Amino acid sequence: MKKLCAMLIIVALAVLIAAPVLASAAQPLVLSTNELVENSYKWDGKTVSFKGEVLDLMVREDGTWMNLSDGNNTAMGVFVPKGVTMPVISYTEDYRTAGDVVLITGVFHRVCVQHEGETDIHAVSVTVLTRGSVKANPIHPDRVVWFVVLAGLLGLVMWLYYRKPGHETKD
Amino acid sequence: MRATVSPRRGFLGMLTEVAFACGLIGLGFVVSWLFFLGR
Amino acid sequence: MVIPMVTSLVFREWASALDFAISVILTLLVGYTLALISRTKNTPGLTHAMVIAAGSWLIAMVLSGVPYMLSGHMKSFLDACFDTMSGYTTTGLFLLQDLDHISQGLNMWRHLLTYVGGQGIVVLALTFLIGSTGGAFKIMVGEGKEEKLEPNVRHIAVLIWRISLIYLGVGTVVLGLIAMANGIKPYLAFFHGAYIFMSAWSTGGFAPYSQNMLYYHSSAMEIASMVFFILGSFNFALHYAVWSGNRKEILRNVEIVSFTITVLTTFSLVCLALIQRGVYPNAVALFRRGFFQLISGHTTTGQSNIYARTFVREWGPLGMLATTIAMAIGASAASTGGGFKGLRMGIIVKGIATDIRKLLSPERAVVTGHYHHLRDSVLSEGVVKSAALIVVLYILIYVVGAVVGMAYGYPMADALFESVSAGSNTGLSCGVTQATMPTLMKIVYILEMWMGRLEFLSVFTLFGFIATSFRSMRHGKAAA
Repeated sequence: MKKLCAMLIIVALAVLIAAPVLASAAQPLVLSTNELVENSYKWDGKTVSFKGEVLDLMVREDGTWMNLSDGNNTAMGVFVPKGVTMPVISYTEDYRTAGDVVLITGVFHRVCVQHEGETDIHAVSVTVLTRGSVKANPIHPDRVVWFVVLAGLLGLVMWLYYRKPGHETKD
Repeated sequence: MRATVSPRRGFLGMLTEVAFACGLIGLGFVVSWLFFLGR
Repeated sequence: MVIPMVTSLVFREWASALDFAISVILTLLVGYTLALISRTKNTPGLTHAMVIAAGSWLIAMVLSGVPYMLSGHMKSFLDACFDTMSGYTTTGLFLLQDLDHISQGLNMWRHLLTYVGGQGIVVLALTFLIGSTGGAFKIMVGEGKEEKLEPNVRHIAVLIWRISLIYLGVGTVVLGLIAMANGIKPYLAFFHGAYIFMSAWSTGGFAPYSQNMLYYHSSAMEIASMVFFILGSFNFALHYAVWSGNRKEILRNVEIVSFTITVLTTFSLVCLALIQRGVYPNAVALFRRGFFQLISGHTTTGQSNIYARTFVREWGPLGMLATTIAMAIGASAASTGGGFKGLRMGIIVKGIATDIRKLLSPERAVVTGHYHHLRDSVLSEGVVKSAALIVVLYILIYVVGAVVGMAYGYPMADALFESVSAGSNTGLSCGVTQATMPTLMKIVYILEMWMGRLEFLSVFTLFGFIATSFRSMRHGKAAA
């Protein structure tokens, strides 16, 4: 009995230790746009993962293009061919909405032949990680105050400008 | 400026310009194609 | 500023609309205040006019930055000034943070800046530079414009706007339809069409998203944009000539001939570099990536369908240098483009050829060179000299900008590329332009964009005016 328990514990531990290692081997590294562009030769043709907010979707005949934003002024074009399952994308980026954050796995192309030299990723799998949402975007009360104050000042200056006798003689 | 721009002339002018631009782009393609042939 | 405000209202971007409302009020306030305190009965002379031209740029730069600052997307006020200067000079470099998340209103503002800036500059070029600079800018159809300047200014401005607005309509529709065909929702597609058209026609180079033209994944979009930015880079006097029946001019004009030759030459260099490095696998890719960047650079547009760092990491030094040269040469005179200008290239090359002919001819032979720009003109010494002088000044700012970049540790190819991009108002970037860039470099680029745009004259006049004011003030004090 004791031997059985000990063995079970050892197996459990082994699985617990090995599982993350195996899992990360199955899930390719999540890379950033910067990394992919800086080292485009290194990653060319490799299977990589990419995570980003969906800026928009463009459905074409042979698949769908997704532009995914993964940082400040960095975004990557991801092509999802017709055969690959596309999950439902609830939100795309807008000033008023935050787009879905999506995780894709696919082959990175430094110069994609199908797309005439584009730097892109052809997705093999697409999963929605975080659903998008409508952003709060409130109007700040102090801005309204500024508006009123400045409008008042403008009214004053305009009145001064147009009432001065010099203004008539100019025309 | 004695010459005037009439709608017909203007339209033909636009076509001429667009044709030129397309021609230049076409030349560009020919050049890249030639370079690839010569590779 | 009203247009972006309305845009924001249409898209229900309330905070952004308020920001623009504030900007409108502030601008009007500054305007009226200045008008109030500087009322004078004197009429402005030419010096005053030049000072106004150059000085108003600075005021516009600062006030136009207000919407940017209010949006919270700028790291500093200097960055905002950089972006507005870049917009008005139709450069296209930007320090805006998180472009992919700005409001439609702010995007409308950015693209409008280049469109308005571009048109403004053409009007300025066609009116202020007539008669001056030793004949190198005899760009008007007809004779003797010196006497009756005023009616012609209005006439010129109206014509320019008419041509540009017609193209704006055509361009927005064409590009909008292409965008729609490519999967962009209809109500957005025509905004994209307008943005890309304004960016192309003004040879500005802004795009609504950080991926620039890569965002669209569409060769149709790129080709249409190319057509518009090539046309946008033409001399407006040429547009006028072609639109009023003189269609053959397009093949005879020295600027177009020069442009065609230098485009094909620099592109050949680019192809050489790219093929030698094996960057692209076939001719189509070589054309679509190589030619687009090159022609975008040569017309000083600055739209791009590759990532900025790709220039450095894949194209390499020769590819970058060829593109740099194309940018340096630039577009046509009296256009929204920058650089030396095709007119000067043509004049200088013909000048050299004429000199060689003179050397080879017998002593007593009279050799005169000619160039064709709307009409045949004699290649006088004065014309060649002024052309060469301005080219030298451009090279000076390009080199100074490059040296500053190198002093901060950037590699030579990168520093030169970016400096020329700024000074020729192109806007292609190889990655140097970042908000984290040293402050001095930002200032140097702003100055480069400004001086390159105004072709030095207005700026020198402004500084000269300030200097003489100080001198007379000091003399006044000494006398008292």
